[in-house]
Amino acid sequence: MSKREYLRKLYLLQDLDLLIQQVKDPEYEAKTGLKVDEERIRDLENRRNELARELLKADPVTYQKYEMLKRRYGRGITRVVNHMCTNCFAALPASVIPRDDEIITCPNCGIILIWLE
Amino acid sequence: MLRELLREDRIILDMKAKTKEEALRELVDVLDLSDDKKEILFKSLMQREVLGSTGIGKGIAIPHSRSIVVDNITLVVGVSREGVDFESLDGKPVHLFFMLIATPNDPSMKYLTALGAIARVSRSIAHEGEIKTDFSSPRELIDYILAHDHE
Repeated sequence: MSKREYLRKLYLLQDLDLLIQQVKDPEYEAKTGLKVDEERIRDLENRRNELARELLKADPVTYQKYEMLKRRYGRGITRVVNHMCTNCFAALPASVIPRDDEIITCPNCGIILIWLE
Repeated sequence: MLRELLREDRIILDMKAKTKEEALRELVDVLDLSDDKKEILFKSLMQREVLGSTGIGKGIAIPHSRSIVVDNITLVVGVSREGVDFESLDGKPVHLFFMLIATPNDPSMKYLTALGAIARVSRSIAHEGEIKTDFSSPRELIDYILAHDHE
C-alpha cells in the first residue's frame, strides 16, 4: 500500500471513529431525537476494526501513533491549511512538505498531517 | 445559534435531486470545495446514512457529519418542491434539508448544540403541518427558519 493510499484509509478510519463516538454519545439522541440501532453500530464497529487491522498490518508504527494521538487529542490526523497544522495551529517549517514516501507529522504536536487539494 | 450558521450562499431553493445520493451530492456541491474534498464529504455523509436515515419524518432530513474537509461548522439548507425519497422514518418524501458539517475537533460541543437547534426548528416546522416550499429568495427561507427557532 502506498503512503498516499495509507493516509486516505487512515482518515477514513478517523471518520468511522468520529461517527461511532458521535452516535454512542448519550447527548446525541437526547438533542437530535435520532436513535441509532445497536446492531448497526456493532456492524460499523466491525467494519472499523477490519480497516484498523489492515492498517496495523501495513504500517504498525503509524497505526499505533494514530491510536496514541487519538487518546491524547481525540483524533490522530489533521489537515494542513495555509502551511499550518490545524490541530495545534503552529506554522509549519518550510521544510515540512507532503511526500509520497513518508508519513509526515507536525513537529510541534506530533499529529499526522494530510494535505488535501 | 442558527442565525450565525445560515448563509444566503448556502441555500438551494429548488433542488433537482430525486434520490438520497443525488440530494447529498447537490447539497455538498454548494460548498466551495475541490472535487476531492466533496467526494470525501459525500462518503462521510453516506456513512452516517448507513446507520439509519437522518430523514426524521414529516418531510425533513438532517444529514450530518464531522469531516476533515471543512474549517468551520457549516450548514447548507435545501428545499425540494417535488420531494426526495430519503428513506425517512415515516416513508414520506423530504422537502426540507439541513446539512450540517463540523470539523473533527469541534470546540465546546458546538456541533451537538447546532444539531439540537436544527432538530428543534424541524419539530416546530413539522408541527405546522405542510412544509412551505415556494420561497422567492434565500433571505425568505432564512427568515422562515428563524421564525421557527424558539430557543
